[in-house]
Amino acid sequence: MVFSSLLFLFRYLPIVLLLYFICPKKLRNLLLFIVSLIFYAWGEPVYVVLMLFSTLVDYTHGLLVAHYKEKGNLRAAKISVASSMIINLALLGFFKYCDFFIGNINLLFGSDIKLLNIALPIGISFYTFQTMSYTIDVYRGDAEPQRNIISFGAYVALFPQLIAGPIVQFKTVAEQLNERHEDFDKFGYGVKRFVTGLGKKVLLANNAGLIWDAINTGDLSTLPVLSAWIGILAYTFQIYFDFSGYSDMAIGLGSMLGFRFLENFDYPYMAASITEFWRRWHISLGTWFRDYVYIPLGGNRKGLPKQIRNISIVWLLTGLWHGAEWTFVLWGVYFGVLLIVEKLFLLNWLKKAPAIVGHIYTLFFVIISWVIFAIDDLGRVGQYIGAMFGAGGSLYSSDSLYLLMTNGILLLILAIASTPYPKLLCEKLVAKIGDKPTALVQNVAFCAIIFVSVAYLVDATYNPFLYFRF
Amino acid sequence: MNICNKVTSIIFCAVIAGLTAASMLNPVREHSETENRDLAQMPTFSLESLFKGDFTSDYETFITDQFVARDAWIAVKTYAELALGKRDSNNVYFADDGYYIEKFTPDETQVDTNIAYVAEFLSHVKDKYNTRVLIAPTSSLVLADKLPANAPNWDQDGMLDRLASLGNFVDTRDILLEHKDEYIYYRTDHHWTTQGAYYAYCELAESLGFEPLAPEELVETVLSEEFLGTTIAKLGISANEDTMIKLESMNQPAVSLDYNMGMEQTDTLYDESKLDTRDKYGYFLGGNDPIIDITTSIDNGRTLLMVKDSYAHCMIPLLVNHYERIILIDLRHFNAGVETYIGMLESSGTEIDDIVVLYNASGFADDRYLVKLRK
Repeated sequence: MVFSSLLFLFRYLPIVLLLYFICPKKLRNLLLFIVSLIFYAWGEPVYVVLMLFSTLVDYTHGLLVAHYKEKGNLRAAKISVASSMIINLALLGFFKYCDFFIGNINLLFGSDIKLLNIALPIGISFYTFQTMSYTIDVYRGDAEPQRNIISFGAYVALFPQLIAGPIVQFKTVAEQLNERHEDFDKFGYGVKRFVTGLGKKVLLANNAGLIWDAINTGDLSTLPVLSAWIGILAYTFQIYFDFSGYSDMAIGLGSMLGFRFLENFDYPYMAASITEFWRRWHISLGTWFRDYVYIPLGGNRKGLPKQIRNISIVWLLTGLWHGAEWTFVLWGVYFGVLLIVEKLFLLNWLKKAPAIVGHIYTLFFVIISWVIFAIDDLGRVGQYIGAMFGAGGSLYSSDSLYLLMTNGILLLILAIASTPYPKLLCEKLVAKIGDKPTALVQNVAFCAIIFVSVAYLVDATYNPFLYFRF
Repeated sequence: MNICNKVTSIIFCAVIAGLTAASMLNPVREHSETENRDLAQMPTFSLESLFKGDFTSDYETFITDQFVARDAWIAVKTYAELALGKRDSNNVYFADDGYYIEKFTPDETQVDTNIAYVAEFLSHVKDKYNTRVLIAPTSSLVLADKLPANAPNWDQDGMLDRLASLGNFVDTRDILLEHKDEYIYYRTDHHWTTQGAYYAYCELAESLGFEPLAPEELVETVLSEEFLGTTIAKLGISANEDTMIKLESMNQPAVSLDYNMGMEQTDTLYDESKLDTRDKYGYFLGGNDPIIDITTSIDNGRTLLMVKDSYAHCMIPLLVNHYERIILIDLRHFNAGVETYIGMLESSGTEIDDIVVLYNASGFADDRYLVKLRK
């Protein structure tokens, strides 16, 4: 099930909210566990078993780790952590990377091993990372083990962030699982975040996606420069509003239910370096790799050569995490190289240059990266990047002019909406005029977003979530 | 506690609960007149369909199709697109002078296949019968200068040129372009108007070798001044209604019609009741049927076999003035091959004189049933 569907908005959500708030506090985790399983099983009636298995494995491993630690048997505790990691990674490896591996073996040795053609279980990349964080956090003493299997199940399956993040580390919600407080402040804040996310997804991302699809499905060899740039700019906006919209909805729903998740995006296109971009984009994934890979490898504390090695490992893995395709590996390596170059000297240069240089440099390389990310065929990636610089043989065509005319206002809105200025302006106005007088305007605006989004959903056959592939 | 958060919370819950209740209480409709299609119904539950994921996805389609005030929501979306300065929405261009013109991109391999079917059919029948192919250009070709500036427009001309090169082709492009400032296409529907069909009828008549009725021999009757067709239905908004007319001879012959080999008989080419529905174009011949066998009081012994789509329907009242018998076949609903059917007619003593294949260009390009021409 996806949040931006009539089914979620007008069947699932009202029923869940109603049940949740009439349910005694003691039983709320159980309720969350059950409704989250239904949420997942709606789209994956078979793979829900896999998620339950993963839950059970990590629950027992968490207890084992805690048990051995109490007894002072660190070696056994370590083995338990390793066992949990192996099982989780084996699941992820089998379901996500098996065919990729077989395909490459076939390519390399000319063999003809049959592909397994396994459908990727939705959200597996997200929930395996979450459950791994649990055993590690318990081992490190960053969190107490969750002895109640219902509460632990609720953490793994928690429907707001289940299928597309943010990746909630166990330590951030460990206490909230046992003790959380729901009130109108949290609920009202959650509503605002949810509705904002809904609008980002349905109104902005989907419409930007239509532009990208119109261009990407055509013949790239004759693509004019203008069309190529309109297309990739549209994708740049689509992926941001799609993914950050989803995170907003997840954070909003969490808040309605009394949780507080960490932020996942912070206006990434405002970054003045790639290093900064990755501190603002998909923050929960970056943090995960930092806490569980980069720092354990030694981070930046063991000299520059080791640091470069560590960055390389993290980015190879980040690329692969996004998908079992060589284009994703290339995409990860691309960012790894940029980050290493920045560490070596570029960051210092950029600091001395005017800010605009950093912004243009960052946006340019981020936009190019989205070409690699969006197209899963390396040949077409090359063709597309070529087209952006004139390989299509023309600067513009009547088609590109039409695209610009019919989407001009949308592109302008997308550009403005990816900066913090609209939010800052609103906050300024609220501060000046006061919260209560502006409440009416705010609520009317939120209702308008809901109504127009519903209109698009009723109409739309076009409603894909990009991050479902991961 | 902040009072504004409380208000926001309550409003949100009220909106969600209100729309949920409304959509659940909304009676389930079987058919949408505006969209001219059957709506998804509540899927039947089985464990098998649940595990395959069919039940859940069918249920989602059901919820979307049956959402309360569906048509009004589509209109909200169209207005939002207009406000964004978009020049098209739901594959419909907002063209000049109140025209709504469908954006059309066919599958090129289907086009190639269909042209090949026509070529094969022609080679089989053209020596034996007086055969003509009339593929009518649609408004996106004839009224191209009403489209938004630079609007992508599929090369319909190219397809018609290829068809023309097969021979036996009645090219109606010139005459329709010559009259493009007249009311020859509906503003809100994908059909040509009866006036547009009249010009094509003149070309067809001359090509087949008979004299078409002159304008002064015609009687014009206004059928409806509030016709809103299929194109505007995709947008859900209100628009200038179209006027629908019929053109007949002053001495219109009597007719008797046999639908689908004896299933139904009438003595009129028109279905008055359709004028009270959304599907007003269905007035002509009552809509799309597999076989309509028309016998007229024109006592000239001539028989026309026409393989057609609905573009032919408003032209039939003119054509009945020239044939004693007209047999119409709609391949989309016809369960046999045309050549087999011709053989059947011949063996039962029917002598066919003329064969006409009449489609509109976009319908022809997309059609998946032309394979029946060669069977």
